[in-house]
Amino acid sequence: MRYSPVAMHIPDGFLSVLVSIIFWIISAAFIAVALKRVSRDLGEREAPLMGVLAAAIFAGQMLNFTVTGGTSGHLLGAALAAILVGPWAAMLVMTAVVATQALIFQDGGLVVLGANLFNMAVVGVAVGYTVYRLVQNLSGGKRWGMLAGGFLAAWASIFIASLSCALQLSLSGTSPAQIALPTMAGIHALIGIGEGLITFGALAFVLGARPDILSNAQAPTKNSRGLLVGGVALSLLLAVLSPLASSHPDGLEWVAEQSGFLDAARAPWFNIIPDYVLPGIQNEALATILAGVIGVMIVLAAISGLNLSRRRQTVAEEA
Amino acid sequence: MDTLTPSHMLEISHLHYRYPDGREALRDINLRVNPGEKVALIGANGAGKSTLLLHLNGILNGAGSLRVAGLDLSPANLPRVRALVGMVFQSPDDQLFCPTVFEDVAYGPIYQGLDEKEVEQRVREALQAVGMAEFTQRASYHLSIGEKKRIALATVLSMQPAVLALDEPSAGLDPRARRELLHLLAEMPQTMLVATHDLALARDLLPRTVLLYKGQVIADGPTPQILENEQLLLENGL
Amino acid sequence: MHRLDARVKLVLVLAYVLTTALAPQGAWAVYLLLFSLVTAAYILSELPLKKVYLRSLIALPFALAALPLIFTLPGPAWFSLKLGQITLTASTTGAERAISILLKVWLSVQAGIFLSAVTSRNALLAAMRALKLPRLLVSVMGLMWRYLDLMIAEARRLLRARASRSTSSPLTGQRNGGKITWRANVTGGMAGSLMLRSLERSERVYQAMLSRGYDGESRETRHHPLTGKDRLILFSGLVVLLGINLLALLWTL
Repeated sequence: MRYSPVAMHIPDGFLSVLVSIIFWIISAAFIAVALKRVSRDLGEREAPLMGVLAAAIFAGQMLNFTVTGGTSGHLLGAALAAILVGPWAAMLVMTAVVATQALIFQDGGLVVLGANLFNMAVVGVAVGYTVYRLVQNLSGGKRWGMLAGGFLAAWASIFIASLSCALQLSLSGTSPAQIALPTMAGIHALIGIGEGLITFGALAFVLGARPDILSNAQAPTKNSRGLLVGGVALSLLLAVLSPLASSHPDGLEWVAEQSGFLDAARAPWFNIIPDYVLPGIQNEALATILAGVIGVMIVLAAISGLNLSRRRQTVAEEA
Repeated sequence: MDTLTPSHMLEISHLHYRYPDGREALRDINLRVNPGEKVALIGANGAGKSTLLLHLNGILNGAGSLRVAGLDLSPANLPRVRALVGMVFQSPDDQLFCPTVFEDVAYGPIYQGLDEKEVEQRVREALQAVGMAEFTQRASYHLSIGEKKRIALATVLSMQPAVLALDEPSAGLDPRARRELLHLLAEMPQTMLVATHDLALARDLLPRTVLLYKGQVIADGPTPQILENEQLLLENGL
Repeated sequence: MHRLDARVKLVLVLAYVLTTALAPQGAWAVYLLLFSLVTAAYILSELPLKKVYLRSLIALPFALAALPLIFTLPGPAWFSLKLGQITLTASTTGAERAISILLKVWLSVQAGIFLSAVTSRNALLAAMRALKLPRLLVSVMGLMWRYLDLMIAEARRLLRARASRSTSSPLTGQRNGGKITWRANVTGGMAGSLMLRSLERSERVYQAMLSRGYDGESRETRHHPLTGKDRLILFSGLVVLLGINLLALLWTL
């Protein structure tokens, strides 16, 4: 039975093996950091808290509201989880949810699970948390700030995650960036509104019943790490958006490009394999995106690596 | 559209229902309930009480015929039927999903498209009927179970239903809350179908009893008669 | 098949899906081999094929997103479609690519269905732990699966309760449903209720675990070593998949 209708679970076969492996490595790194941080911050109650919440998020994705006759809106939950239990725990919660969907329900592939985890459990959570915090700081912790923050955080988490998804598809050559990016962005800008509204309603409920939960989650366990997560999210945001803005031609031009370019397909010298040897703009966009993402990853990896090696010593001592 | 007033409020004929896994839940149920009648549905766990109730507003769809106030449960009629049959489920937590009591009770009228003034009036009347008028701005989450059950009742009363279908209304209530609930229900004019384990509730409130066992109607008659028949009750799981 | 060690099944399915992903586009022979492999697995496990194929349609909606490739991928032209002002030209390479992707998706989903059909949740958890996945992650998933059915049931009851109050009135006729933002908000309230209840439930779960001696470490059950049969199947499975990979490699040369 299909429970999660958010259109971001990429099936196996859509991404190239190289892209899949790259994102597996990236996601694994983030998850490893999350594991360390959660162990330190939450203490013993971490497993039941995250496990039951993960079950609730999974079930929560079944809750829908009718948009028009046939379609309905649903929740992904990354931003909501981040607001309720903090970014690192939320990362693990969403990992459990997305992995379960792939393993048990075949919603999303196994080889591409790393990429799906990156989109939903890493980017979704990081962006959601960052935006929420930003709005919190701006509003000084007032109630309207929490609700508005929740809405914006949820919208942003969906939107940016969809960009990441489009990036993966175009890097794999499955869908050229000029189609994937606008399509994903457009659709998810709308879907994101649904997520925002649902998250808004959820926070309103929680604020009415147990405001202490939200104020506990405010307690800054954040240090440079939290800022770094935010920074990553923002740079991803920028890295993806700027080439998009520069390279996306307006509607009519795009259509003309399409027909002109497709006619050229008849020309015999046209190469089959390098699908993204397309008009120059395309490659620049991808190159910029890649550079931005990789650069940020390297920085994060270095810091995590440092932290990991420090931990390894203590673990070795405890063993 | 119906110019004839139906003589029966509920008309169930040869209702069969099978769970998705194949088990038979209801077998050849026949039931006629007149407007204003108050009927108890008793039986052991698994006898099919809740399953039968869920058919009344179309959540479950069995084979056979079921009419509410003359309307059959086709998809076109469903929204109207659901307004006619106020379904109160066993667990109040599943029905109180809005931040405040007001919003929960207002859901029904708002969905119906009533204007603001009308909605407010409906909410006021419904909460008054259950004795919880001062609770409008409270968060239902913190209320006691007795209070929650009354709010849950109000959430369907605001749609002014003709029939109340209640699943274990007195479950989990302490004696005082139970008594209060009984008083409330006694004063309500709607037709009632109440699934319950609480035989005393049936005796004090509901003049007619239907006994279910393994999905079948075993007995259907005046409450005192059925409740005194210990042999009958024992044989059928109670 | 059901009794095979979960670790073997997990590894083989992952290897299978990887092989499928590595297969080049248009390598029809390879796809055919992979198909026969997974079908054989189903037959050996006595799984009802019709149900499996029905379930594999789950991937269809997303898979359709691959169709535009028919028109966007450059290559020898195949046919053209005229839609108003726009002429869409399909290329054979595009079609090949699109069909290859569809097949890959289908094969991978079948492998996934196989895994979840023949492996119990507990066995899967044990396998993940045995394969050295982090302990915390595995216990989170374990607890999640333990409470999943409960939470899903709660979500269903919330939806039923809402449906029971989503009605029409003769006073307003068809003008019902309320504003869409209001509907979304109410859905949010339902989600919030679910989340809140789960957070409070987790407290009780934690206390129950404490009273049973939980101290933050979940003790692992001892892992049985793989039986000879397990090893044999693992080995031969991997060999077959390796062979298919080599065949796929030849295809590209």
